Amino acid sequence: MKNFWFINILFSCILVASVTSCATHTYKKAAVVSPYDQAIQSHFFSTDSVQYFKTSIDTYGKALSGILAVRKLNDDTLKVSFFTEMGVSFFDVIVTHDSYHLVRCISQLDSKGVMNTIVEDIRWVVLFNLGKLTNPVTVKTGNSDPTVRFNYGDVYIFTQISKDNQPLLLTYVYGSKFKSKFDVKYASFENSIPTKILVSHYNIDLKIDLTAISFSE
Amino acid sequence: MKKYIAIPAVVFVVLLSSLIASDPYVAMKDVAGFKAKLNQKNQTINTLSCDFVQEKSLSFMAQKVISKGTMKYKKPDMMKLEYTTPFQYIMSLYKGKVIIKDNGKISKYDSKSNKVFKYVNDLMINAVQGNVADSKEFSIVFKENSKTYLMEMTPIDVTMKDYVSKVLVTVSKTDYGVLKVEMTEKSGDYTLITFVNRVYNTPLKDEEFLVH
Repeated sequence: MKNFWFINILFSCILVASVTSCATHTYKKAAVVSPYDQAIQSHFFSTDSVQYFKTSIDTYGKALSGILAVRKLNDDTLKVSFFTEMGVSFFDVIVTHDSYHLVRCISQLDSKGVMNTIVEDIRWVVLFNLGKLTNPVTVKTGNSDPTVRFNYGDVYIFTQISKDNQPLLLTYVYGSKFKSKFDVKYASFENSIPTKILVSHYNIDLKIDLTAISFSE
Repeated sequence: MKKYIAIPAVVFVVLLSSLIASDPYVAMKDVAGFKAKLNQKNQTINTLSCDFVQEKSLSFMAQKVISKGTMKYKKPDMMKLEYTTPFQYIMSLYKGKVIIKDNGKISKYDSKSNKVFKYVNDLMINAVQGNVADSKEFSIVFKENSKTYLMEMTPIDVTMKDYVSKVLVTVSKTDYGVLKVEMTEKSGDYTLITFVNRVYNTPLKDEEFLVH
């Protein structure tokens, strides 16, 4: 609740970024090497139907934190709750691949720009969209880890993958100049489940730091 | 046919056992006496140290999540909540400032800069002291059962009702200490904080409420 001014800043930044997008990071020179015929692995929801993350959102020096709970109802639907450490709810939302329905939301967060960004980030963080990726090809990028490029609608998803086909870094790339919109970095794993995830946006100063936690006794 | 007999029988047994097990709250007989004793208790409290268990219901997710930590309070306006399980998070109210340590980062705010934040902080401090019985910000219904007193508090401020629709403060009949604070949101979801291992008037230095 200390963070309502933060939400106004976040909304303003998203608005500005949407008209003055100026990302410099590009995958334009990533040459296609060969088709990629293996399946990308995700171990989210393999042991629990709900994943909890201690979450910090930083934008322009301001911070918002809380607990993010993501429940996978089925392959096409997530239920997501975000609430403060002391238990006050920010929002509940039902997320599908191409839309979402806000069940409840504090008025300060209830704006299309803010929620579109948050929901999109959550989809990628838990790899909800894996099944929607098409045309996988390996590309040469200069990174030591193999990189696979997918089509996702009219944008590209570039994924650095581990030896067991788990994403280590995922980048959302759009437009003819291959501009990067945001990265999702899977920085550490426990039993193959990501435990530390970092989301960085290129067009706005927005970073999300998620640490997996378990509420089981 | 048997199942038509069995179902009412099971319902009856469940209802009967819940009646036997429950200790229902009724209207408090002596509200003035309760307020006087609570006030008397408050006068004697300079510090409080305890552990807490926080239960948050997530009806939307059909889950309950439990976190734990320690709490320190020092008269008149210092309180430190330190969550230790399953995450580390510190929130300290220190002489009008709110200090938060999260993910290794420390941030400070003026508690008066946000009306809602100040409201919840004041509520927590006053509730921990049991100093809410005469609050002008709530309409209060006083109840009791054989072991505890219960203050059912409804916010008067319309803005606050958006965040907290009801606050229940449970007070021990034995020592007039606050045992539980339960905040219910408009959606019906609640956050219940239970204070355990309460120790009163252990010397606490102001510096212990700073966050490093």
